[in-house]
Amino acid sequence: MIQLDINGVSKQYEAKRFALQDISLSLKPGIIGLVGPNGAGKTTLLTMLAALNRPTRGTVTWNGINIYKQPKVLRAVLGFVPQGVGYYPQLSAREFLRYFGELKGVRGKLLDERVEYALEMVHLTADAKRRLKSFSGGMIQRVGIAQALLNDPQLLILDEPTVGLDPAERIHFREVIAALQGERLVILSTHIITDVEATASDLVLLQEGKVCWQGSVSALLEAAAGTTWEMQLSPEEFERFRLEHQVSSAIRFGDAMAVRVVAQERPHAQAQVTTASLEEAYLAITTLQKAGVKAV
Amino acid sequence: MKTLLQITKIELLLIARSKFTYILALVFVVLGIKLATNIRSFPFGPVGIYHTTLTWNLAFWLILIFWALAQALRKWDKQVGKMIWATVTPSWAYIWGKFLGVFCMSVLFSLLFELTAILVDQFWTIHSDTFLTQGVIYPPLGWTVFVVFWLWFVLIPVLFGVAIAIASNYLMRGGRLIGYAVILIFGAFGAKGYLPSWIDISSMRILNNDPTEELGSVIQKIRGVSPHVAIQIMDMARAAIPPYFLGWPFVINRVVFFLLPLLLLLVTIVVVDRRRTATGG
Repeated sequence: MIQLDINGVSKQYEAKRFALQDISLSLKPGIIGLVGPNGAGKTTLLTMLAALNRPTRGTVTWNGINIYKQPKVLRAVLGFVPQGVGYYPQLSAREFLRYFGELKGVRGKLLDERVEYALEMVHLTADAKRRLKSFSGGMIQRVGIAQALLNDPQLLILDEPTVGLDPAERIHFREVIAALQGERLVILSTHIITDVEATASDLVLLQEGKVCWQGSVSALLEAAAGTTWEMQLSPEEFERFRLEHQVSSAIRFGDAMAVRVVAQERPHAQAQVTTASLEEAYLAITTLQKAGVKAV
Repeated sequence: MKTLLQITKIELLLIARSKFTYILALVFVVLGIKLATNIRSFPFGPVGIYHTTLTWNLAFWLILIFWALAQALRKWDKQVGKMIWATVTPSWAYIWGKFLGVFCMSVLFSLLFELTAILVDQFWTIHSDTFLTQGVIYPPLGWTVFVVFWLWFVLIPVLFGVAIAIASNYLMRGGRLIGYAVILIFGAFGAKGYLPSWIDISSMRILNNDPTEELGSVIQKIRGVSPHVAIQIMDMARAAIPPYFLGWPFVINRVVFFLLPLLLLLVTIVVVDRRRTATGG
């Protein structure tokens, strides 16, 4: 059984500036959504898990082995897609993947098979001979994911893989991630909660370098129950209202606005409590905790 | 070892698929033409053979190493690097692979430069000035002279320059600028004779020991050189190669510039390997 343990990890850049503070998690096979606003410390944590960044305090172990003392053990089973996938514009997709396969120690016939499998997984077989300089941002992102799959990784780390993808590509990406389920641990970071809504078995919410919530998607929805409200307001009233409340959506119908709000207390006399979407549950956890509301 | 060869192969492929490579090749062809024709067209050309050759070699070297500095860490290499450092590829294989790729291409460029010079020297018989050349006065110098020069004065500086390109790019932030500065200091200060002979990569300082230099000033005053005298002068120039007057300071110089690149690469590998798990390379 594979297991990634993060034990009291902190990363301090300056005397009083922490990128991460005392993170402790125990991760088992499944798809973990690492969610948090920009600057929450997601990339710092992921580069640490890929043994590319050493914590100031704490350790990370892979199946009980300290990954900073024996990084090769981790690298042999790691697939890593960094934020902003790097590529060589002069190479074709197939050449690029073959190169990465060699770098991962995959050789011979197995390399041929793995390259074709990875191309197929990300729907790039038809474009495999094209140079990468002619690829769109979404296609490059898919090449990045394909290279991470070449060694059939047990640990797959994806840092903001949906940035720059159009809606159709986002949907396709979710299909790819869902297909990767199995005896492997996939950690997927994003600041867009809908990216992990359909695929993640567990969520870790990160805020200001700390884990502010961890659990399943349904547990998050449960935790945020009673914090989402809906009401109808006039446009003028809405303009005043939105300055003081965390609005999650506002749709105009003629002279009225259908408004959804995340709040601990009833925000308006007309407000009715409603079922929270995952995005609203995330907002409830992060914004209300930040505001010091402990009940959430 | 296979990983190392694969990295070298990809480096060569990336270089071969860059349009700039072919522009640069053209520049080196022009430099080769200028080198060969300068020797055979000026009245003092053959006797000042060291001066002429080392000057064109220095121009070649500066252009080549400036190119190598750009190749050692391309704008997209940093992002690709993050993905490479997350694989099982050893740091030494990546650094050596990159070094070998750029070095092999640099050697190919130097061979193109020398081969152009040899061909122009052998077959150029035009007695009037052209766009690139002056009218020929002297008979061909012969290919051995260019080969000897390549072995003594081109290979080692190329090795050193490419190692500087790799090391400066990987050892420090903004390292490429430091690389440019180091190359300019070695090139310009060496050309001006400001550096001691054992660290003069341009080898210009050895001209102080060139016995044909004095003869050169006499020949400069001759406006017309008869075919008979031309052949004699050419024989003298050939006889001065290989450079018997260079002595131990030059041998030490070559040893220093052979060992220094190896040391630089070793330090680069150690530093990059440590940084790999500390900050992601």
